[in-house]
Amino acid sequence: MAKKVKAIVKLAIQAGKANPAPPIGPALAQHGINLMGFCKEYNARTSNRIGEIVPAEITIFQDGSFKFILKSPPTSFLLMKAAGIQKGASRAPLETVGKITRKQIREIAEVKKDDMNAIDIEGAMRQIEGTARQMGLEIVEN
Amino acid sequence: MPRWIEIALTTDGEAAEAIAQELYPFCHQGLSIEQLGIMPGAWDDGDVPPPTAVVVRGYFLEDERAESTRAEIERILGYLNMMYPMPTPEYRLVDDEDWAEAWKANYHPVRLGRRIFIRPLWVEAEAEPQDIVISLDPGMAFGTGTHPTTQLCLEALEDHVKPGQQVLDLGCGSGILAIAAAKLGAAHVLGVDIDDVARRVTDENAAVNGVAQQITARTGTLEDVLATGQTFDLIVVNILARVIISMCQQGLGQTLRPGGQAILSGLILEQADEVEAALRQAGFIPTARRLQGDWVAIEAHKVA
Repeated sequence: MAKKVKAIVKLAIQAGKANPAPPIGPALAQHGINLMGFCKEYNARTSNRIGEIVPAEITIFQDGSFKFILKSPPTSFLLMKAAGIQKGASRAPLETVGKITRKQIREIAEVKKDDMNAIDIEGAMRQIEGTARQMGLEIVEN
Repeated sequence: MPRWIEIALTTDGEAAEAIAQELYPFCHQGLSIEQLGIMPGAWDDGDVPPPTAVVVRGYFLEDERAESTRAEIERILGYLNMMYPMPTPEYRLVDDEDWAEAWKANYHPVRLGRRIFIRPLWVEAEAEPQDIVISLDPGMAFGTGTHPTTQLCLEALEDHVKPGQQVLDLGCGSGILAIAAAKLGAAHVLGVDIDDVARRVTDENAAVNGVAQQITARTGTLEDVLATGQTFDLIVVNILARVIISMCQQGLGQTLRPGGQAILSGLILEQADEVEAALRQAGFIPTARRLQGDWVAIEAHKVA
């Protein structure tokens, strides 16, 4: 019999560095799940991706048990990596901090498409272009 | 005791990622995004519809920089609002202890192996006369007895600890494995952890369990243990595959006397081959694997 879902929580956190401090503690303790159990499992599964933000989507069940899946890094993280910048514009859309090519946008769309609700790769690319503009990135052909 | 300022924004799934990426640099260790509108018990696993509303939460310390952080966040939300309607952020103060206590309600006595009985300090439970009872208050350190790797290590300790042995527990956490080894007859257990909270909690738990004389807890690393030149009859390492492999390269093998027994866990099945290869390089001979779900404990010994 399938388990009944109580809550779904996504955590955008650093690979291999989960601990009971915020945001993990408050997000999970309110649902009564074993904080250390989650942290240890997350750290084990992300230990080869140190330095990346690896979001975890946690499904918490009525009986107090839980499961989680790892998601692709945030679009912004992948865009910053591709554009070679440390942070997005603080005054976007009024400020431009870098450039990104359509080819790079397509590569990011390939990574992200399973986690996005886009119909096809073009739809995923349009969403990513939107995020790029919000961050102050200019989209160029080559 | 530090206090945190929680910022919460209720929004739709589309805006959530944009908000999260803007808030990320200001918030401690990341953000949580909780799906709203899930009626408890209404959905089976896999059937929950995509979110129509979510709440994005982040935390920063209530300190002298808090006001400027808050002002900066509001300024950035103002810019985002030009592209997409932004919700008004809600703030509240959160004590550091709220969540540390909240999850305890889910923590129950656990019976493991043949005789090991783990009892949370705040729970009254009847043990059998022959039980080896470990009473624990895990606090904020790892090792609560409910995690599969802790259970695998406890079962392995029950099989391998012999009276009078010298034992090393690397990454001792709450001290649960050190206490079990002491109660199973070890003459002395050295518990080492890089986290000073773990050292303190191990000392407290050893005292509660009446084995403080047999356990020494230290803050430190494998390097510190190697510097003493001491060797052990049994070593237990319950951390992570990557850390165990790295320890193998840094001389873990030298801590174990010839003929001694090692128990290594904190790894999943797909990592076991790699860990065993590192163990062989470090002079260990892997002899058995214990499994619980995807989790593995490796038993190994050193050639006599």
